[in-house]
Amino acid sequence: MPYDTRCARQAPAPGAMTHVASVRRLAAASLASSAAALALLACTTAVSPLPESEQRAQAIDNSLICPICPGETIDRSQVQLAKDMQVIVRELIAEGRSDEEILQFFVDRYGERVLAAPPREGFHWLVWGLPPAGMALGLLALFWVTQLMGRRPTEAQDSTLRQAQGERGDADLSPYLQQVERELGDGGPSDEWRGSRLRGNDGLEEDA
Amino acid sequence: MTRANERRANRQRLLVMALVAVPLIAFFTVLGIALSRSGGVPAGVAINSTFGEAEVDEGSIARDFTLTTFDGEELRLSDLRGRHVMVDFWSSWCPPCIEEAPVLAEAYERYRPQGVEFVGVAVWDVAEEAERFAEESGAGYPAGVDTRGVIGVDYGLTGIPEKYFIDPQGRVVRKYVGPMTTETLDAVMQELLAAP
Repeated sequence: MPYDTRCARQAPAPGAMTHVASVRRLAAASLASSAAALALLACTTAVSPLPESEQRAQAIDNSLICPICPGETIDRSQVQLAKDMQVIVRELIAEGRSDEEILQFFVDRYGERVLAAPPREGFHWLVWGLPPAGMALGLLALFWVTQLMGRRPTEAQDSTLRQAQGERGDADLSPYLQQVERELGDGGPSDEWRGSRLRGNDGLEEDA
Repeated sequence: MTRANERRANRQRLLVMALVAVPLIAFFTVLGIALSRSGGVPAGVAINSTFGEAEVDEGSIARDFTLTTFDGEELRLSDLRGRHVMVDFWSSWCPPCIEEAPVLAEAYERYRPQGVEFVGVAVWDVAEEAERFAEESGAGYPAGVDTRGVIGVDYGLTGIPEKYFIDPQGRVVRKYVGPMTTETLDAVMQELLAAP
């Protein structure tokens, strides 16, 4: 039988075959799970579409803070007042009131603190403007600092730095350089040092 | 490092610190203003923990409502025009409401001949328990349950007990949060009755 060198060259090693197969299995599993997730999403959106009025009501519920439960919107709160407010929201929608009118209905009774998001007017602009302004300033500072860190030193700084490094380097390394010169002058590391290396001890303790 | 380089480095450090400090200072300033405007607490709990007189919009007309009383009659607030009215929001499970019930029952007997009407509105309660409580407290004034919660929301109710004093023209003139004693109730009633 003629030996097909081309196929033989292309045939992977047994270990590599296993690896390729596992990658294929993983890819197939990923595809299957993605398809299942998409199908589930399609089913949920197709099976239970909420009426437009209920979608509006839920959006308004999410925009109103329960007046007696700190930080909770009325759609999340379990107290009776929040449930009463949800009912009123739906009644007002049924009466044909707009979203703005419904929010104003509750503002008239509880004040602006009943709104989950502050209105875009007066003092409240600070709340809307401060986070993006702070973020912009932070990014500006970050950009500026990275620019500073990446900047090449000027000639004067460079020479100063080289000088400082040279002085410090000589001072720091001088004991070690002297050690090396001593060892080289003696014809290499001592027998005692070699012995300690063989015993698994690097000789530093003896040196110390 | 030369002196000029040091100065430049110091300026850069100061600028970075300012860029970090300014938003922080602004954030805490806004937080402080918001806390002072809200009185330090974003919202209370259902039972009023702070007692005393609360602000009302001077001259605002009391929102009208219809209440089915425990006697089975339909009471309309606007039908009580021409009289001083005290609307009391309460609940049978609320300890301060239980504590002040005898005070209100006794005061009603004294002020009714002077053209004063009390109306009890039970909120966030079970109708049967509210009715039993009203009977046991011996309150002679009309009371009923706000079954849909609309009356409470219309009055911006945030806790119980809470009382609204309405003048003969139908304007809300006083709001009182928490239980009242005979002394505090008398003081308010006498002031309202003395008003022209």
